[in-house]
Amino acid sequence: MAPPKRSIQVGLIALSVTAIALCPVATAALFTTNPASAFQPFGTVPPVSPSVPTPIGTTAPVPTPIPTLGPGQGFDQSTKPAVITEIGDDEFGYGEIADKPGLYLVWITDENGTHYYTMDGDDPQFRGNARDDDFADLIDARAETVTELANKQDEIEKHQTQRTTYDVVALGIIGIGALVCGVVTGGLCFAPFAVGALTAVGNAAAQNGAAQSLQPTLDELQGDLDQDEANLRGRFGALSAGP
Amino acid sequence: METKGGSKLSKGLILSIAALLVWGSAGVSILQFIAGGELLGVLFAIVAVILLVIAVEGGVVDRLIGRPASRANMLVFVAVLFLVGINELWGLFLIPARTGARYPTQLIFTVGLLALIALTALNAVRLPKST
Repeated sequence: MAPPKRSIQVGLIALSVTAIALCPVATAALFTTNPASAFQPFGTVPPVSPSVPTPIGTTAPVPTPIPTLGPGQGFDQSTKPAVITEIGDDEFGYGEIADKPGLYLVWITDENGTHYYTMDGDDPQFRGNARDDDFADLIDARAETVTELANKQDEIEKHQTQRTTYDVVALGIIGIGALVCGVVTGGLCFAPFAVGALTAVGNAAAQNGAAQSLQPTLDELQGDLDQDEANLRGRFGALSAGP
Repeated sequence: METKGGSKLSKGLILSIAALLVWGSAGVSILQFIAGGELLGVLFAIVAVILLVIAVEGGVVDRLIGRPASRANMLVFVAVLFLVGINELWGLFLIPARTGARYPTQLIFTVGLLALIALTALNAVRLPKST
């Protein structure tokens, strides 16, 4: 079968479009022969016992209040506002809130997690010269203790690494001595190797002694840190309890 | 040259000394890198690789087997191993912060070192007697 001519296709499409467009017009008369109408004219039925004191539309709608960020608001990890500066660390610190100049977010951590609270930057309990144990002062004190503690821990770890190094040097000296002296001098050269190894072991023990002597300082600093954090929790409690 | 009334170096002792030194050097190398001592870290890594190659190649080990070893020397050798073991065990209880990369590394290293020290000491006191 030969394919239909293009002119016939165009004609059929034009006919379909025209039919679709004219169909509502063509059938309109059929549906309006018996138009629907009410038996009675429509009217407003007054309420039987009106309970609405004022008609709708006579008072302005009350807008839903949108919470605004201000001092004295508490937050948790998921709801806290973003800060643009951060003093302290993730556990204890404060920072200025983004887009709110002069408004600060302070936070402390206890066994229940980290708690956040907004503070006016001028509040004397937060910072300033009015007192030397405001929140910012306590954060500074804690940061100082944390740094000292980390320095002591680094010092101890250096002694540990040196001890291990001396111990392995001692093993090397005595191990090589045990293997080589028997071959070269029939064991006669072992004595200097033993002296060298024992010297290295002595140095290693001295490193352990030095590390152990730092332990009381470390314990003291840990106590200071616990006290600093307790002070911060106390100050935070005073802030959030209000004036 | 034989040592009168002495012992002979056994393959077990030679290999355990090699393993002890390879493990020790590699461990010190890692610990030095963690502590920021790159130079010593590289030096000990090189020592570990050289010792490992010597042990695996086996020529030196074969030449040492059966060589004389004085019992007195072996006793001093075991005494030094014992002192090193005590030092390392003592140091393990002095690590202040048991967090971060250093503590697990030190723990694995020390446990391995103590095991190899025990094995080496055992091989040293069980040397076959020279005839």
